Amino acid sequence: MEAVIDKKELFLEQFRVSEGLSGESIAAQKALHNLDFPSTRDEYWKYTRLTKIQNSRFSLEESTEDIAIESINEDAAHLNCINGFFRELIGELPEGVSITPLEQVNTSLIEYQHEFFAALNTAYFTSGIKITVDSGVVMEKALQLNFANSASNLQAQPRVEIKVAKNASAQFILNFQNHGNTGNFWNVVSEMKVAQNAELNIHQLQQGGDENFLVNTTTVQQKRDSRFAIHTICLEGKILRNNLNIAVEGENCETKLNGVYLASGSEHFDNHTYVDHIAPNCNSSENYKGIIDDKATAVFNGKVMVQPDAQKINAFQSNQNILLSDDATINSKPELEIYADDVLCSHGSTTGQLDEEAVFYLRTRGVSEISAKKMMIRAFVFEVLEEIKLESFRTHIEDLIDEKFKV
Amino acid sequence: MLSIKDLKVSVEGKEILRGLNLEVKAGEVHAIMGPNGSGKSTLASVLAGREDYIVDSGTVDFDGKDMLDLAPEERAAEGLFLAFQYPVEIPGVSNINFLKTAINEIRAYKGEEKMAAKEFLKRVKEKKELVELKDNLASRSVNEGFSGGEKKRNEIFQMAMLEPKLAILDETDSGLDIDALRIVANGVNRLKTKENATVVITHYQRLLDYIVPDFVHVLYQGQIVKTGGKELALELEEKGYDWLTKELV
Repeated sequence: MEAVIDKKELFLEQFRVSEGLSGESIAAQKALHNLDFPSTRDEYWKYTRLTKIQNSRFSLEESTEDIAIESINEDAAHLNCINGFFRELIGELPEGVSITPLEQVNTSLIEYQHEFFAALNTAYFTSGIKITVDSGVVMEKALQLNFANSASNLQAQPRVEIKVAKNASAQFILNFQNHGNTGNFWNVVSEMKVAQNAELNIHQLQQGGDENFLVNTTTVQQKRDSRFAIHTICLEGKILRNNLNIAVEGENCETKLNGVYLASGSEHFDNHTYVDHIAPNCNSSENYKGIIDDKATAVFNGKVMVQPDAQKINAFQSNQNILLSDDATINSKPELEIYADDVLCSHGSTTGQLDEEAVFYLRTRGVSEISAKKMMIRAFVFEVLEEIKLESFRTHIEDLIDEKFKV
Repeated sequence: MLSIKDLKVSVEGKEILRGLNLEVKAGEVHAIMGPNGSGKSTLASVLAGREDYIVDSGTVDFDGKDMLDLAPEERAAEGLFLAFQYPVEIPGVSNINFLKTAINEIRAYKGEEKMAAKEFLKRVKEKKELVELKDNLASRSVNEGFSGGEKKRNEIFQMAMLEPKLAILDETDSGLDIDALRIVANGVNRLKTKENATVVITHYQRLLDYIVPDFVHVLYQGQIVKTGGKELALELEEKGYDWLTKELV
């Protein structure tokens, strides 16, 4: 027991800052003191071992080096976060959209009292921004936030707050990119508030390199008549963990969670989602599809909670997986917890192999084996991709999916 | 065009083809008939390159190439086409898109340029009419939700698109109603030229009323035991296969 505590303390040591903390960071630091480093003994981390992160040491480096980052949606504005530090905005924001630095955390949706990584970010975030979309504003183009490193073995803990005011419509791309670095640890926390009758569309592309760690915690709050959709595409990561928590607090909301994860080599991707239906008359639909090759592992844990007052809820959840190799692993756990009696909920999980008969059929028509398998993979994830309305993002990831497997 | 010599094939250790010989020349239509379990589908599968089949001995020469040495897609590029007995449903893969890939990969294999989009669409339109394929079926996912007849028509549509030298139709007629059978047969007949050849594998003589063969072969216990003209098919229809097997004993 002593040794465990020591390891956690040694891990925390590297994040401590000389200046005094302020706001909720103080409380988060206290929480860290009481929390254990997550292990597979915790239900929440059962299938994801974090010893590699715990035993690694990371430094902090605010670089000024220019890093080339590709644009996914051509002429829209970009904001780069290099090594965990946000830089100046490139391009122009639409009227009614503003970005301000986040000096300290005052009130937060993030539940960090029981969550180690959320607490770590809340206590020691490297840099933070607050994006506000004023009421009635419609963002025609998606603002692209890029997360990248200029060196190896760094820690990066950015914090993002997005607030979409009443009747507004907003869209973002969160792009995690790799620049050939290794041993980096990203611990990102995002807080998203969707006000009454507002709309928020998030597109996450996670390809931060297969030698880097990413823990990405996103907490969403939906007020009545709001629409929230998130598309998460996991393509690269040594250990990649998404914690996505959505509280549907108001009536008549639409919630959509889409995910595609393609793991190969010895990658480990873990998607945990939680949709909390607190109010009645809402629809949520979740569809995650995964393809796992080589010795890679994927974890899907999706929980839908329907609270006692949340009548007339339609909640749909599906997780489907294809294993391309005998050594690939998937741990899939869809969960429903229902306390209301007038609801329509369904969930399901399937795991299988690529249909060899279909591959053979395509080959007899002159399609090469590799093209045939790529077609099948595309077909498998198509259902998720077709939900992505932002076309430039969709075509970009279609190409990346094609490149990922050399099947 | 196709020369099969003393072909012996086994599946899971069981010998299915036991020294099969067959010669097919350009411009010819051959019918291979035989009772269930005689090895008809095995022949189609092994020619198309299905993996579970072990060739124990023998040769298959396809226009000077050792066909058994080629991957399924290379066989297709060389001009072989197999119409499946049970066409596979492939949700999410569009018929048209996959055919475009197939045609262009075959062209690349031959060192030819990609087909222009305009030319491709023209061919689609033309060939669709040939097999009376409804508009939406061509652009839908491969065979997904198609009726039995639509699936077989789609096979012939693909055959028309790919313009193979040698087409093997594996029980394409089984389970078809008479209208669908006519459409399928009509498509095959219209695709026939002096340069290409067709091998029709069937259990029933009925198909041969519509696709008239130059040669009829009887496959029995993994060997071609009798070869004749189209009248042999009628004889088989009338007498069944029993007389043949008795004759052989």
